[in-house]
Amino acid sequence: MKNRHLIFQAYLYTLAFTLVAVAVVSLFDLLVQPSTHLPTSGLGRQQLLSDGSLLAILSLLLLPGLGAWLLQRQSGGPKLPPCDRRTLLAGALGVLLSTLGWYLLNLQNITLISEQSQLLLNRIKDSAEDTLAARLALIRRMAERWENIGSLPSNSFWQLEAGSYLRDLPDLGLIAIVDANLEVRRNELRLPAARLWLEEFLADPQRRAWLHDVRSGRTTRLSPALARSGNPPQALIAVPLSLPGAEGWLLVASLAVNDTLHRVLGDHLGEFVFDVHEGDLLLYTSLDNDSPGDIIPIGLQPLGLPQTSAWTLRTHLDRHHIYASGQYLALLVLLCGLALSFFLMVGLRLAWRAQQQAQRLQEQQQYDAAQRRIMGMISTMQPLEQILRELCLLIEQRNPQVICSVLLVDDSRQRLTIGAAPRLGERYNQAVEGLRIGEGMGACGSAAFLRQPVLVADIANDPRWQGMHQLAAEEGLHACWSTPLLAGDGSLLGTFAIYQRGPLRVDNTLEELVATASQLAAIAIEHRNILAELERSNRELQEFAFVASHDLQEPLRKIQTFAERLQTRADTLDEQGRDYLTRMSSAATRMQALIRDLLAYSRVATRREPFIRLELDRVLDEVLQDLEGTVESSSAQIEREPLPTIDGDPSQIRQLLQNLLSNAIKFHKPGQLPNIRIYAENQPTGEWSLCVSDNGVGFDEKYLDRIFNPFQRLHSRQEYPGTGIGLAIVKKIAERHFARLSASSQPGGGALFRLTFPASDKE
Amino acid sequence: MSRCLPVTILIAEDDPDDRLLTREAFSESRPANRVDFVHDGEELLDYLNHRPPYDDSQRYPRPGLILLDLNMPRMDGREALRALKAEPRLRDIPVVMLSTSCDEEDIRRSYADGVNSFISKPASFNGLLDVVRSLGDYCLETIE
Repeated sequence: MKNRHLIFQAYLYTLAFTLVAVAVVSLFDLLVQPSTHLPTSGLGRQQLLSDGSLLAILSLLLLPGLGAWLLQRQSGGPKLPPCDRRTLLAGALGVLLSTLGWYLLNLQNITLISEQSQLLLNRIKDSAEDTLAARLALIRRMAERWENIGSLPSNSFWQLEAGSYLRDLPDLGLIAIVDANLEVRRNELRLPAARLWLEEFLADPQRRAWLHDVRSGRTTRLSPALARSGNPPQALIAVPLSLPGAEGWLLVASLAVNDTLHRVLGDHLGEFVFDVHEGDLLLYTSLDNDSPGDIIPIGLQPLGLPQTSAWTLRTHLDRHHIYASGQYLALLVLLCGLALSFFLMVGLRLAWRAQQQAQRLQEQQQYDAAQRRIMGMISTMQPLEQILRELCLLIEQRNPQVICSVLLVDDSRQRLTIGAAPRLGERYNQAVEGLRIGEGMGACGSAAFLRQPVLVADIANDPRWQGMHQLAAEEGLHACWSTPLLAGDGSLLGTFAIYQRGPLRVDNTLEELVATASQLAAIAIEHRNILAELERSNRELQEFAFVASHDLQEPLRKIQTFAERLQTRADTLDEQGRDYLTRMSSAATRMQALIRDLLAYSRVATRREPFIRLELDRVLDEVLQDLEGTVESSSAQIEREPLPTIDGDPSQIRQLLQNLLSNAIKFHKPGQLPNIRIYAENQPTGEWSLCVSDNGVGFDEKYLDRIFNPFQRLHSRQEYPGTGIGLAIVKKIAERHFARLSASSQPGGGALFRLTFPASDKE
Repeated sequence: MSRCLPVTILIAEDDPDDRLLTREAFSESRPANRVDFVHDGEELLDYLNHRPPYDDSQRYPRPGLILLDLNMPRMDGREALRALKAEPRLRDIPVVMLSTSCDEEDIRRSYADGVNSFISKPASFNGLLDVVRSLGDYCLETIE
């Protein structure tokens, strides 16, 4: 759909350029014309250029253009982007070149026609003059013959002689001899009407004067033509005839001029139309029909013999013949050039649009990447202010007209505090800082209060900006659109506002942009809040651990001590009293162990050391050293294989090994020496496992999900002492080291504990 | 001619039970030494500087050993230790820190602040007796 608009736009531009170019070329032609020397009068050239067919074609092009334009206006379609300069330049150049080509071809065509007509004119002039001279000479020879004979010929001789002349020369109408009084003495007529023509000629005083003139001049001459109504004009050839006793006689012959000229010009005149005029009188025209409106004059040439009156020979071109002679070519060039220019513009426009789209795509990709970067900043727990600042800058880069600001709800939940507003002035931000949430408190305070977007179109005249008008004016802020930021549970986090220095129009693009920004900001703020909450609860947990370690242990210690003091006076108690005292002491001791173990368990999370390279063999050495007493007293047999090096928390790994080993020793079968194996095992998945197996009492695997929970025991305290925290600590340490703890066993069949580490940990 | 006189031992302890037990432990194992108690760090400094109500230097002599509980109200053992060691006149009195915690960080910092010994409060009275006896390593007698 959009391409159609581009094509239409290119079409309109081509049309406009064409009109301008044709106008410019015509104007140029008009201005330059007088100085251009052409063999012809130049009159015809102008007529050629202002050819109606060109105008017809232009208007034909113009009509659909105007129609399309009107349709476009009415449908109110999308506003076309302004044409880029490159396209306009290429189009204008193409149209100008085409028009110039058309103009130059026309010029050349005109020159060719003029030259051709000039050549023809010269040739025709020569042969016409030759023919006329030959006619004059023939009549003159006849006169000389009569003079030589010395007398007027007899009637029969005259008839014979003049008859043969008329027979040989078909353009002669009559031959006659007139005397000094211009009376006809002899005549020979081709048609009887010729006699009437002669009488009319002789009756005309002007022609009579001419005849007298010929007589006195003594040369052969051709008279001005005389046309009798409805007949072609004829001229009279007059030769003075001097015979003895007949002074001042003349031999005359009428010449049908058009016939003579037709014989001279013949039928091979090409596209040209010729006519010959004597003054205003048309002597001859080669045009068959009577439609002189359709012919264009080309050239003219004076014609005639010295003894004759002046004739003018003109050439014309039949309008229908023009196009056969190259005018079509010029028009074709123009049309092709215009079409090519049009296609060039369309092509460039399409290329331009593709480029725009590619650019938009690239911008979109950058925008997406920036969003991902901000998400990355959120997930890597960068400071909130930095994330919000980055977000504002991203939105401002995406739409350079907007200025972003993020306000956060403060702890009192009554006021807003600046989260980020990198492009707003310090003074403005200071004024906004601590903005109360409530209706009428700017766009942001209102949006936070109403929990829905608030658009303030004209800050300067909005009562919600009471007291801030001056500052807003200093910043040049005109409009503001604020969106509340809500958490997943619907609680208010803050607001995201965009300011604009000009009128703000909320369209789809802006809505989308604000939605994205609001979401990101809300995620960032909520993430920060959750983290803070987590940190707070962690801190509370640690405080709890401290309370447990100190304040719980303190009274316990007192119970133990006073029980001990009481025991030194046990002799004052009875048997039952002493039993109660013993039970109380052991319960207190057990509670102490529980508190100690609980602390140890919680310290796995709270007392963390950074990971370092650990040679497990060295760690195992130390652990075995620590357990030396236990190992000796239980006569345990320890088999060990070389272990790899891992990245780990040294004291935790040590505790892990210690717990696993002491468990293995502790849960030995009564009457059987403990046998413990420690080894590494490669898994087919590329991972590797640290294994501790024993030949102890084992356990039913249905308890697998229980044994790793804190304070879960499978045996009575009497059988095996302990609080049941050891494996829970092992599991927690394993998790911190990205390892999987699993166990397999059966009652009485020993147990195997397997810690599976990710592949990369082994070296 | 010189005569050994048992020194006064000053104990800063806020817990009445602990005061009772400590007093009993001392009377059992070192009945010769006089034991005075204060309740917190500020009172300790009042005692040492003879500020009222401890302005009678006959009744409240300079102690030969100070036992400090780590956790006390108002001014705890750590602050009191730092104040003691900052004063040249009091600096050379041996100080033993007593605490229910055996937090490594507490121990490290106490030694850094100049404590002579850091002892975890024992869980039993016998343990307490052992501790009191071991204080004999410090001179509990003055030589006159």
